[in-house]
Amino acid sequence: MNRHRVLGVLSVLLVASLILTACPAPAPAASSSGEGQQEAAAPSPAAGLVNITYSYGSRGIPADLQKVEDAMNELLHEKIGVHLTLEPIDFGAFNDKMQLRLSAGEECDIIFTAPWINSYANNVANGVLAPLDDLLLNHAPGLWGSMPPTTWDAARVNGVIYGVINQQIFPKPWGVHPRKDLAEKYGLDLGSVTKWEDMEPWLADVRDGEGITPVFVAAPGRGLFLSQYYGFDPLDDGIQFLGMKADDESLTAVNMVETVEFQMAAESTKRWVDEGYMPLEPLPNDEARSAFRAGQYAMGYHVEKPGNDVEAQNAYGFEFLSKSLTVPLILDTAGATATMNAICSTSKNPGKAMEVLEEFNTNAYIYNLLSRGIQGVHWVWEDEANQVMRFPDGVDGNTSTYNPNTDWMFGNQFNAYYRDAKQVGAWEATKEMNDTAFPSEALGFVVDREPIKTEIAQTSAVYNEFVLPIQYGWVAYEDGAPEAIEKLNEAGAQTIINEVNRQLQEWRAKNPR
Amino acid sequence: MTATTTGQPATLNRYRLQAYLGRFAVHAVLTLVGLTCLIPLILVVSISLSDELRLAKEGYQLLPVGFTTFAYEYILQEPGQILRAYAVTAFVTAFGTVAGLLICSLLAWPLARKDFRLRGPLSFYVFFTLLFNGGMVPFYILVTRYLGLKDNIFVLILPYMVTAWYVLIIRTSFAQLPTELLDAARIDGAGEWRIFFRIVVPLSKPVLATIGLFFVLRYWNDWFLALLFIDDSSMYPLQYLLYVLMANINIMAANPQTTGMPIPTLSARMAMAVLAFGPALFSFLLLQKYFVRGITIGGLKG
Repeated sequence: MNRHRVLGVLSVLLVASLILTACPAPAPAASSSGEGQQEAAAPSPAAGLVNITYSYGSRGIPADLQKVEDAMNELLHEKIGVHLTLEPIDFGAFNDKMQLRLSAGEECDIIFTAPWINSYANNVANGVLAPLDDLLLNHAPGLWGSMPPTTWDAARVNGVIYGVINQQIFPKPWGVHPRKDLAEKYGLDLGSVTKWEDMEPWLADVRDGEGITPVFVAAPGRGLFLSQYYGFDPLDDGIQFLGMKADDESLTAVNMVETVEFQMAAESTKRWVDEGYMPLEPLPNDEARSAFRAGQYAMGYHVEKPGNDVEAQNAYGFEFLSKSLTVPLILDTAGATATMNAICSTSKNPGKAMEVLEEFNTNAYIYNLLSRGIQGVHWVWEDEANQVMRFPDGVDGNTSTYNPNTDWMFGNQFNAYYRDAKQVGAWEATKEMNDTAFPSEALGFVVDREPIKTEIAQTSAVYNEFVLPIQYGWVAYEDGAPEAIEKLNEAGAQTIINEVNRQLQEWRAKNPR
Repeated sequence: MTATTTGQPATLNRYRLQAYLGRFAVHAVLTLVGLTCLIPLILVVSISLSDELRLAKEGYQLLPVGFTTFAYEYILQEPGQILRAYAVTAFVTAFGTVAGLLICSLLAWPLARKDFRLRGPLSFYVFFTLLFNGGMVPFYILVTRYLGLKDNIFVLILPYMVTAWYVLIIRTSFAQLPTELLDAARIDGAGEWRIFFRIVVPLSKPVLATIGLFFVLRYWNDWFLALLFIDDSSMYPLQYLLYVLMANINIMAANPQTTGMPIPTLSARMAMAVLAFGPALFSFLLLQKYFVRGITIGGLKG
């Protein structure tokens, strides 16, 4: 009796589970539409409002997120009839979560996307982003007009815009930021420095006088070869050896490892390592940063955008000088599209979502609410006339209950209030840089990686093994380069270059100069 | 020298010496192994109690340099998140282990019974899932869209509750129980439930203890389910909290966009790690003897 009952129960369970697992296919239509209705009905606080969710990366979840969201909605409800839900996702999980959600076809409205996280190119290729050209014209004229058409071109894939570019620094003004105290102590005349090599006498003095390795480099290593400094448009950050002279009207991609510029950079880097200006075995990034704070380095070299001296001071505690050594500045696709917000193709209200993006980008009040919090609670005016804010007394960047510190993620950064009186004017100077930067001949071109996927993977492995040691100054150029170039070619470098050149010509035919 | 004149004690001495040497060698090796496990832990504790700037200048030491409890004060200013993560992990581990053991053994029992008609197909069904699964995206869609378990604490428990591998181990152990015992129980009038809970389970304590330990470790160490399904930071389990903390730092360190952002200092992160593993470490010390017995017995039988 008992046995039969158990058997019966078990077989029913088994059959049920088999049915459940075997045929989930017929269900989607019914259930997803049901879910949609539920979603539209549930969180809406007032009738007639459209729900828009904004998903973006964040360093932890700010304690006062809800307060900021409420403050934003106070205005958005009235102005555009939208109820905005902020959905910060930890940076560490952002890429995985977004990729999973998007491939699962989960509904979303506005998402953050970039070449380096939640990949823009992949998302466009997978068709999960909505085309924005019409939306921009009809729902966000202010945003559309805030940037020249050449800049918008950078976000076009096959002629269509899928991402709203956040205005910030677009070109890469690679340069140096030496510590001010050491620059004065050892008589550095930064004004006369025009290239990396001009720093060497000062670096030697600092090395001898202070007994430190003066140049800040974090693991695994970093050389002096930075494409834009040497006039290259890198075309695709995922194909490290690929580049094109930004002013090359014939649009010819080359293997940068074979160029004389690369050789110059590699030789200088090797010298800097040999002379003890650069560490041979750099510390991991976070430890290297603490070492910088502790005074173990004298100089960093990075994107020397206006106000970078102040940012470096905030990060490392010393006063800094800063100078860009990149002439001319180059506007390339990757730089212009470094951070974007896009609208999901699953969004039910793309028009309203675009109106929200219009507010993010043109409404300084909304933008600063989102990026800095509520006035009087999370920040106070230091100097309202010049738009300089500071943390309230007794609060700093770490203890603030709302301090996402990701201005570049939310919209037009030139609407941000300054954090330091010394930065006043930095936005105008940056905008000037953007507008005067020399547009690469290939601005707007994006490599279609699909036909050369295998070669990219192969050459990337070879690059890491054979080229990086040269680039980081561990191996002399003449010793390593011939083998590295040979291995790159064996792995398919030439196939990639030929294909990219073909794509460039095809692109040029569709987008005449 | 005396050994040549008086033979007997010399050989004894030699044996004793050999025994000493042998034991010394074994102890030396074990000590080395022990130290390689212990030193990283000591370093973590030491760094968490060190002064950040001196750490950068002088490097890691086994004893804290510039002793300070600042990192702990900094973290415990807002202990809420860590305590909540502890509570989540503790609940998930306790509930998941008990429920998982119950379900797995209840499934393993009929599979172990030769008189169960559907034994073959059901075994195959269990075994099948060991080899094939729907893949990540369908799994995600199933859980979020059809089961609606996103941001639900049970999403951290349910997916691991029936693990084919554990079921097969328990089944093997169950199958070794003498059928005469069960027949005798049946003749005495025991029903299926009574036979299972009064005879089968007590006789299978070793394998259940082993599998129980597997469950505990799996639930305690899991962060992947949280990565997939938990967005609400109040429901982060402990390991995921640590994972996110470190992953955030890596992302911020690797990207020029984020250069200006402050990142928690090394000592703060180490203090966090100490707070995370400390209690688990001590509970392991207390429960160690049960664990060891469970593993060895299970190893022999299961």
